[in-house]
Amino acid sequence: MTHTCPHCGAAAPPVPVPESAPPGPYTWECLACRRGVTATVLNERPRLSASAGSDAPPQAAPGEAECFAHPGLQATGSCEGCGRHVCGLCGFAVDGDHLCGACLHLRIVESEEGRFESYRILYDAVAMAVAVLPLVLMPPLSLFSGPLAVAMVIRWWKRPLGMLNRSRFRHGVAMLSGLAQMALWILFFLYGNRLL
Amino acid sequence: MSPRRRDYRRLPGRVMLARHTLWAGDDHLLSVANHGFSERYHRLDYGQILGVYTSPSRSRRIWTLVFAMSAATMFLNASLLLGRLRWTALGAGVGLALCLLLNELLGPTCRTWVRTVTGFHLMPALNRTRAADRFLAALRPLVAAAAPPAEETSA
Repeated sequence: MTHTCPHCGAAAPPVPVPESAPPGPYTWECLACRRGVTATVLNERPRLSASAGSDAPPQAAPGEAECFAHPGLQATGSCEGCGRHVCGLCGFAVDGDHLCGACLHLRIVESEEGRFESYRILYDAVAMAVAVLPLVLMPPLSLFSGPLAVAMVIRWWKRPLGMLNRSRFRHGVAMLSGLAQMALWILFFLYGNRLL
Repeated sequence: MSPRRRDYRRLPGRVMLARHTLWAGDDHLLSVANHGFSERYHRLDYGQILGVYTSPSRSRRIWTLVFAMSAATMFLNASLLLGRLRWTALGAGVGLALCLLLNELLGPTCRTWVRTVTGFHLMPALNRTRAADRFLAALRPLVAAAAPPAEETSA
């Protein structure tokens, strides 16, 4: 495998290791950016999907199937979603299926699987912040933030948490804090005159 | 169904205050960037990981300098001030000195990338050499298990 500098992309000097020796970490100083880099090869033989690894997909010979998106390039298969021919550049292997980009996008959009997600809002953290932060920063705001936090917890209870499925501890804290704030304000309105 | 926590195993490496973490899934490496009210996920298929690249960084030296100068200033203030301010400055100085000690104990800093067939992917969670080494040791068997048999690639 040819090493390149991850900082600037410059090629590293050839590895001066005899072929008989087991591959170990290779350290070099980049000739372009002068930074030291250590590379540890884990896999010389990556499992290549249809879309990766080939430097240049082969041109289709006369009579051969051509890619739908890249006319002139040899098709490596057909999309199992729409049946279009795809080449090595635009075919994706997903769960044993061979898909084109459009069908892969459709599967991601339609799928409720977490494996395709790349972003999640942490509603429990938002509710907890709404419940707790006003107490610290501006206590009078808790007149509004308490009920708001309770409403957020009820509204968002069934929303998915983080990908790593954190507990509902934050929801619990937000709910208890919100209810406590509401109770204190009710007591204040009922008996505040006597206290003052 | 979304993957549950039990489907992932925590890997070494984290940024202070746990903003970035790494998790090992069944067939992929998951990098999680927590931004407080949201999370971003980045998955790397074990089968397409080629290697791990590290490069020493100057973060440790810079933080050492910052903490040392701040602590020295606070101790100097503590020696010049009187009353409550003196104790405040002393407390701040001790806190900064502890940060300095922690920074030194955590070892040298580095930047780490995982190289796949598509390019380099920076792993912010691996900003200490020691953590990067432990990560590498944990990742090696996972990548080896996902590597295709020799006859498949040679064909």
